[in-house]
Amino acid sequence: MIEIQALTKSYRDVQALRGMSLEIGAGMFGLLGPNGAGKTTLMRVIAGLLRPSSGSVRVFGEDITTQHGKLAVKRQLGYLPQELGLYPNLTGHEFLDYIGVLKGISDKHERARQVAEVLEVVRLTDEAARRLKTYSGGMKRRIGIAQALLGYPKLLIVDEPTAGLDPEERVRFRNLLADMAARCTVILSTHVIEDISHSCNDLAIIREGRVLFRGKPSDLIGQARGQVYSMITTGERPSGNLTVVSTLQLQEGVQYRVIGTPDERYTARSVEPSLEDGYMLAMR
Amino acid sequence: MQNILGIARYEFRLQWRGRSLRVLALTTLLVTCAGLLIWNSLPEGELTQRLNATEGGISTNVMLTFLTFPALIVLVVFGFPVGASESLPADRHYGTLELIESLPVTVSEYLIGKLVGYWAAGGSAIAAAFVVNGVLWWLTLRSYDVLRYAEMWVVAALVLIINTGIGILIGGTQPNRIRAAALVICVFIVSTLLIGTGGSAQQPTLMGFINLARIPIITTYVNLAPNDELRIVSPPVYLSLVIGILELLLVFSGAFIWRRRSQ
Ligand SMILES: Nc1ncnc2c1ncn2[C@@H]1O[C@H](COP(=O)(O)OP(=O)(O)OP(=O)(O)O)[C@@H](O)[C@H]1O
Ligand SMILES: [Mg+2]
Repeated sequence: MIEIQALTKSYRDVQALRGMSLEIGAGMFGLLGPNGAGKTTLMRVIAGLLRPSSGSVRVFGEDITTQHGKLAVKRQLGYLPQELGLYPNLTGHEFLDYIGVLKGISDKHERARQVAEVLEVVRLTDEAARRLKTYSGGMKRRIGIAQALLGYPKLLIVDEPTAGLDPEERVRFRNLLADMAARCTVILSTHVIEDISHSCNDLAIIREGRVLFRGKPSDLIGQARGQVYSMITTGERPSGNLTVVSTLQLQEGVQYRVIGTPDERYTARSVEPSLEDGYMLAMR
Repeated sequence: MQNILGIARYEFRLQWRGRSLRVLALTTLLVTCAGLLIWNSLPEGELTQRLNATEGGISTNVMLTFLTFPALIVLVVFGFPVGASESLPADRHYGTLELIESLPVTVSEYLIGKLVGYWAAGGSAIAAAFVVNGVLWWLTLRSYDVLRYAEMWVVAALVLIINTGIGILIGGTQPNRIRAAALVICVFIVSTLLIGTGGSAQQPTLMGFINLARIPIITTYVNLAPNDELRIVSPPVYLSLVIGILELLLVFSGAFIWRRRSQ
């Protein structure tokens, strides 16, 4: 589906991607990584918005560095930028209709049908006639999600789609993406680890433009097994080569969840790792 | 083609819902109608005498053009292009540029769609002013040469198309709306002041034709010659429009290459 080989991308003085090779198949692919890791840059390159500095990227067999390949990919693409702005003076319905036209849905009735459908999906049907400047942050984000779904894309690239959504909408959207992933390739970047653990069967962690981990969520959890401990102290933070992932004040003391092997001073018990623990371990 | 029409349709809407076009449309209406006030307040002086004179007098038609055209031409030559310059930077301003770049739209479709949309919006502003102003003059004068009056507005509309096109394309090279407007103002000032008017009103030079202020058109219509010297067919006007269209095509090619490279 998507083959990336030895991809690098430099902005003027920043090397955002430093030799990245990835193969992404059908289904849902999660991208994790700290701020500035290069997630957005990678997604922009795949979407044909940025020209790679070196390396090759093929999407559905098309070379995205050629004009022809770029256009062919864009015809099958649904893209939600990390920071999407909207025309304040258009209504939600008009905005989606506009994007529908630009996606090449030229038949008026078909476009109207699809716009109504995606509005229903993001539950904004009742607000569709209002100007976008009157929408709340989460509603704007949902319009952004709706436009990405227009035209039944074969490749859906969504950059932090759930940022700013309330918990209910976040869960709904996660399920929606998982449904979509049955029919197309979905690439999702997020800082919310539950988004990944609940919906992705494949993920990559990137940092400083390199792939740090690539595999299933269960593999990432597996790596952390035997390295996550829970311990209670009288208040002092655990010392040594430990990463504290949570702190909880209890009556009998302070409970810490740590990654690493605590020394004998503490009475620690090994606990079952979560995906977050796996991520924290990979980042160590 | 579908893409171009779609972009144009929404550019038209976005422009009419934005502030700058509404202000320009209202201004056009007011300043062209201001001629009526001047007409109604003309003292029994030289002008009216010349107007009423049978020998060497100025016709009502010339007077009408004289009172309407200067304000109109200033707006279509400078005002609308400066207002239009924000058309392309607006996508970046609103944060929709990245999304639009991810859609299957080519650079030329995008540019042409934006231009056509603005032309329709600006053109409708001019058309509205034409109708209102024309009716008011008719009520005032009872009769005038409607064809010649309309010709003046059509020429103004063509100048609007050429100059706003240039304004949009030049403004599109800038990252934000303020810089776009500033650049367009600079280009037009340089054009007007440095290139100069060139030649006389009757025999303009090439420089006069290249000038974005469209000097030959101004000198043709803003002309208080005795008798109805102005003809409907005026070679300098035609030539000026043709050169303007060539300028527009040239700027378009430049803008096209610029966008293609920066993507
Ligand atoms: N237009 C740009 N010009 C210069 N440097 C940039 C540009 N965009 C991104 N960078 C740099 O490239 C690196 C990767 O940025 P990128 O936006 O891809 O990170 P990210 O993983 O998406 O981060 P976040 O989680 O904060 O969204 C960062 O160091 C960033 O400063
Ligand atoms: Mg990002």
